[in-house]
Amino acid sequence: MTQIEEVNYEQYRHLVSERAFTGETMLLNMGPQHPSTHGVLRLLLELDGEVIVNAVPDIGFLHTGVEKNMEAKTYLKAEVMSDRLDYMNNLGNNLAYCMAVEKLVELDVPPRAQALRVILVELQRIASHLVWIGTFGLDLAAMSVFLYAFREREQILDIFELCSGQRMMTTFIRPGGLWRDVPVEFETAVRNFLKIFPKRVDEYEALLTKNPLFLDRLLGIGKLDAATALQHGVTGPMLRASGVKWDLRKARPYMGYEQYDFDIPVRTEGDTYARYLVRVQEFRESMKIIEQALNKLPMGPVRSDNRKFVPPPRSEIGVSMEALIHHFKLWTEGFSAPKGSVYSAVESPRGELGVYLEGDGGPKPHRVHWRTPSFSNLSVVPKLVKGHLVADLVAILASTDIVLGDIDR
Amino acid sequence: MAKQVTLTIDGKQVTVPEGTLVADAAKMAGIDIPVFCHHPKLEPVGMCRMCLVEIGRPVRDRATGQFVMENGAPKIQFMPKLETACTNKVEEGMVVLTRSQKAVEGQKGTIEFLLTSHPLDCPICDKGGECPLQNLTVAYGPGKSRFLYDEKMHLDKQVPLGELIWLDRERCIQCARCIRFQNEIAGDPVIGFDERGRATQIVSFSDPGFDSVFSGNTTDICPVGALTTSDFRFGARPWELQAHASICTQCPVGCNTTLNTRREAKSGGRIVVKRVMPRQNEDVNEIWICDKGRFAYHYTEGKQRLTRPMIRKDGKLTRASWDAATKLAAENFQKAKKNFVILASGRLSNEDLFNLKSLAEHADGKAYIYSHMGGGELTSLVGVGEGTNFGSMGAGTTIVVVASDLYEEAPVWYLRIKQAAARGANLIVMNARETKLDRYASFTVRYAYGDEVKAVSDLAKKGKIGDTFLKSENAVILYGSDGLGVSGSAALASACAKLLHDNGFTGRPNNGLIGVWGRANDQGAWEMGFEVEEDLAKAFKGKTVYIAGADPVADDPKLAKALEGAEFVAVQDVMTTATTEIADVVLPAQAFTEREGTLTSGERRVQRFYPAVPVTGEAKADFAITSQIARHMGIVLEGTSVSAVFDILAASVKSFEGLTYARLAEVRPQWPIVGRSDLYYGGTTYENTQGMGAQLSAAAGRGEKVSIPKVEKEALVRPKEKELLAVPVTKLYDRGTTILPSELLHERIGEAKVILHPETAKSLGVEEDQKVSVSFNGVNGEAAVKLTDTISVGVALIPRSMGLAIREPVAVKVK
Amino acid sequence: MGVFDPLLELLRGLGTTFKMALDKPVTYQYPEEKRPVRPRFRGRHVLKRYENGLEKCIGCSLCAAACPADAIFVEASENTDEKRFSPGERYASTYEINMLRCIYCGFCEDACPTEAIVLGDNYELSFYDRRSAIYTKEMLLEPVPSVEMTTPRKVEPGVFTRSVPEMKDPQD
Repeated sequence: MTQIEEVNYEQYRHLVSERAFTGETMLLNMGPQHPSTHGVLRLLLELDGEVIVNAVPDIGFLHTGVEKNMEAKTYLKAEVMSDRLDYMNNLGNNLAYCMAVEKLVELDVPPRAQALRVILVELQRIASHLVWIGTFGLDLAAMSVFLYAFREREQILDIFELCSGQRMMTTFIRPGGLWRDVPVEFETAVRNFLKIFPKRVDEYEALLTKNPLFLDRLLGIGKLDAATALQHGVTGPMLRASGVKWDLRKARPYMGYEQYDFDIPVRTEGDTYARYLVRVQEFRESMKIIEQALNKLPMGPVRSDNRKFVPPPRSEIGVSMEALIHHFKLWTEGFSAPKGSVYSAVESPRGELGVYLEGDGGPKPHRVHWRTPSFSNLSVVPKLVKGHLVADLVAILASTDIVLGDIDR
Repeated sequence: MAKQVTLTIDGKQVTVPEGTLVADAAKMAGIDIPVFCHHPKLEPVGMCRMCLVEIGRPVRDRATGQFVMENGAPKIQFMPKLETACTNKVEEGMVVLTRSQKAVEGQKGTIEFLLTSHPLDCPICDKGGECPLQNLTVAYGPGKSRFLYDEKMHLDKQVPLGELIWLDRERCIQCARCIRFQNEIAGDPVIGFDERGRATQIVSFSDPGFDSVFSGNTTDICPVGALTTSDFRFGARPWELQAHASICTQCPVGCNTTLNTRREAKSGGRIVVKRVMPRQNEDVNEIWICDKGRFAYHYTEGKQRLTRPMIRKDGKLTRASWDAATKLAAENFQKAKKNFVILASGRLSNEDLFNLKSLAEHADGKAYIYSHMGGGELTSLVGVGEGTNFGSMGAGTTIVVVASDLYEEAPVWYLRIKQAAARGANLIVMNARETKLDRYASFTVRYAYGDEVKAVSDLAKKGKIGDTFLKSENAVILYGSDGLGVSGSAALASACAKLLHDNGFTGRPNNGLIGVWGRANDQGAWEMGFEVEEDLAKAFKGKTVYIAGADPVADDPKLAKALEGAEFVAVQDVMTTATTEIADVVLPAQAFTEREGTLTSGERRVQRFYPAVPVTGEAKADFAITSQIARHMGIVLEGTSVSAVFDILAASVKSFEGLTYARLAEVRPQWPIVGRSDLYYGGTTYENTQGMGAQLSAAAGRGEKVSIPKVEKEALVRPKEKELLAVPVTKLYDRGTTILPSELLHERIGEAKVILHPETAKSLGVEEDQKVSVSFNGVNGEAAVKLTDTISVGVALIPRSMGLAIREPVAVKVK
Repeated sequence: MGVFDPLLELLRGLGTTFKMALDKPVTYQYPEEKRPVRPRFRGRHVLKRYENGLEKCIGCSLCAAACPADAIFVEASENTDEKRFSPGERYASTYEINMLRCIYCGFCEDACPTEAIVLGDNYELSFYDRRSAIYTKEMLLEPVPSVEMTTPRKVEPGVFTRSVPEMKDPQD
């Protein structure tokens, strides 16, 4: 027998308008299980017919305590948790965390590692945007885009498997460089991808960009002006679609981004269509970066040779006492970071992904806080959806490109 | 207050007492200077060259003797080469640079040299994870090697220096910490260097190998995995172990220990104790424990543990429920009325003993302590009290050790007292035979067995020894039972107490009487008011007996017979013993590793121990069992919370007044700094965060009137003409119930021996190692003869608890 | 053009999808058709042996220490020449990996000083209960090269003394 529980609406009094309590408007739960909320997101909607009066996001369903968990692990072991935060941007998270650790302990990264990191992170960006474009189309009933996007994504995930052995949770970027040098087939695989991908992007555009149904659904929907965006801390393509030319890769270059020639796509309309166009253009820019990095790829080591932080190569462990000792200590106790705190941010496919890392002199971080872009991006969504229809809500949510792992951690 | 010296280390002003070494001064200021051969408790040798630092001293003008000034401050001249911080004492105005480029290179170079001959053993070495060499290499050493692997030296691995300690010669870095510990602190110089150059290796001179009861401590201070215990070999990695604070239950010293436990498949998925490590308590055992405490913990595990209550039905012991067993015991105890006897031993905690005493009082029965020593009630009157600390005794204090071989009976007191003597204390060792402590004594008094009381009373007489004793500021007398039984030691105790009381050596810190008891918590039993009974056989006959923590049946056939003639016997113990086999009710008790409680050490210090492993079977804590029985008898005794029992105890027993569990858990900063992050400095001893205990007060200290009972001279037995007198002596490794389950100590325990003077042996016609039959007082047994000329003619020493039940001096026939 | 623009775009989209329909499908019909994994693939663990049959694992517990998920449990014991499992003094008498806790990160493989534990290619792991997810040493050890090379076995004394072998940097 189904239990019917009376919901206490008093808990929503401060969130929704008075009209909900008089019965004029309807309170509808969207989520947490919903194919269009891009994860376990609950949206409490106050509806006046089909028109949204208020939308209140309820997050926390995917909270796994990553930040607290990282405090209990050594710096190296904590990195595996970074993979699993924003699960569309694994290598990007790795990079953000490793950059923070390298900043804290002042560890150098050799140039080849930097270039390879750029290539991998940009590939990850493309992979993430492919998921976005796929689900974006899917939410708006353009299912074929979803399938085509995932076909391309397979190629990228195959490249990741080539390098690290895993398609997604790679933990390939380690403090001081990379886990290992990329295999010989890497360059061929990436170039193959770069050969076929521009045409594929054209295909997606052919399906979507000038599609009248698409345009009808998206033009003028969810307008976000620059001031509101900045107020809410929105970053990434959402911000750039609202007219603010801000990309960390250009504004605060890292990992050698300053040596690559690429543009930041910016649009001024601020609606969902603008966000779509920005991201599609980012496909092409990322390809440019990858091509340049691959052409300029320097030879050399892929990991710092500072043995106090980076375990020695396997060939030394069996013959060098120092190497064996450092290997032992680094893998059991881990390296110790000095007292102090750093903040280091990268441009993830969603926006500014920052890691605040605090060391306390021991081998485990005292505090790891992740400044995640989806969190701030989601905070502006209630403003965007006011006055729109429920169907528009789906489009707006899809255009924000949120990942709940990023929001809830 | 020692003269203070101010110096600058790494730019930081540090003020330390004069005579402090630079390495120690830096540690006190929180600056780490890496060391290997230096240990804060050993004399510095400067052998390893790890603590190389730049030292600069203020320049003095040779002619005038004044400081040469430069820019308003004394000019500092640095030595052209690096110096070792461990051999240099601090000087006023000294400047020490520990991280200058030169020093860093020097430290790096030293590690590089040490690593050239070190084997690639980290993954298989027991020390990995708590290894000073590993830690200092990562902190101060090079990251890459310049040494060719094929040129590494290959030496013997897994060399047994005795069956307890194994040496790996390849790993040894020749720091000599072990040799210096044995020479300086333990006083057993049984290991040393052999060969020279890189082939320098540790050898053991003694047979049996590494014949020292402190050998385990060398594995704590060894900075590499060269010295390891065979008990813990490949047991677990340090990070896989959990640490629990505990107190050693083997002797009255009450050393603070840490029990390392792990849940493992070898033990069928149970959580077991993997090793016993020392815990720092500078007031009790500093950072040392003896080998008995380190290795004799196996009795708490294993098949011999009692897990379920049992009742004798139709002549056989069958399993029963707690309710049935305690009810049966209660019924019989109630029926007995005045014929109710409780026999408890010092293996129980204070709370257990208190509940037993309370039960005896309520049920109008008798409460006896199972002890071969008497006179304990005097320690509540004139015993040592708060503030007594062997570590603070020095010039002006006289320590008298009478009728006790501390090396065998309370090894860590032996360490502490010999160190006190080295600091200037007057050590008077009085015994009928030579003991290891004699070497450090200011005066040695040799008396004949039977003249103990006279010898003690003579201390007040005029003469060199007497004057030293009477003129000292403080005096502590430790009395034992070497060659004495219950009444003999009681008489001795009275004599000692009288001597102290008459001369004002009571009621102040570092003054008073200490009993070198046979078990860990005998002192607690005495404080609660337990009595000692010389003729236990008479006390048992026809009575209802409740035995807790004692095994009289295995110890003495006479007592076994007496118990058979008892009306009802209830036995409460942790494992199956001969006594549990004849009992009517068997009650399984928890071992000290499974519960918490307090123990009172011989120095009258109450210390807490904490649980480490889960409870075995259905065992309950002793005090809880007593409470359950009492409840069936209509007597209310606290049986759930240990601290509640302690609070009641503190309110009832005068000496415990003012103590609480919280107070016992207080800690103070201690020197030297040891602990996991400082293990390169002080060794792998665990730091003490769980409590340092507190001492009891004595009647004299509380200002109460004290009256010492008169000494009964007739209690002492003297050797008669043409008669061989057997005297009981205590040896550390015996066949006690708590040590026998530890198989690796069986070699040290050996077989029963009777020790004779060569002349006595000749007159009896026996030789060394010959098996003879020994008979006295109805006891017949076999023993091997051991000869020594450190005893007098006409006596035969028979160690207790080795199979020959000797309780007091008695005439013996040896064939 | 204006009014036909939308139609043109729709046709362009439809054209793209029709073209795709004629392309070869990229789907692997798993489980009949399995895509081969890459050399570096991180799948089920394997405890490796030397060519002479001795186990590489020396029971050092570095893998257990390195595991971020605390999935490995190791107990060590003494090796003798009469009953030799691995070269050197020490071998793993108990070695268990909880496959449900394992996140297949490969840290154990990186931490192992003897190349004993490696992550192989098998990804088809499923269990009916949690208990059967705990893989014991027998399940993880790779089979012996030949019957005479089983472990434990009696060996010539003094030959197999080196615990940590000389290794090469990973090539794949």
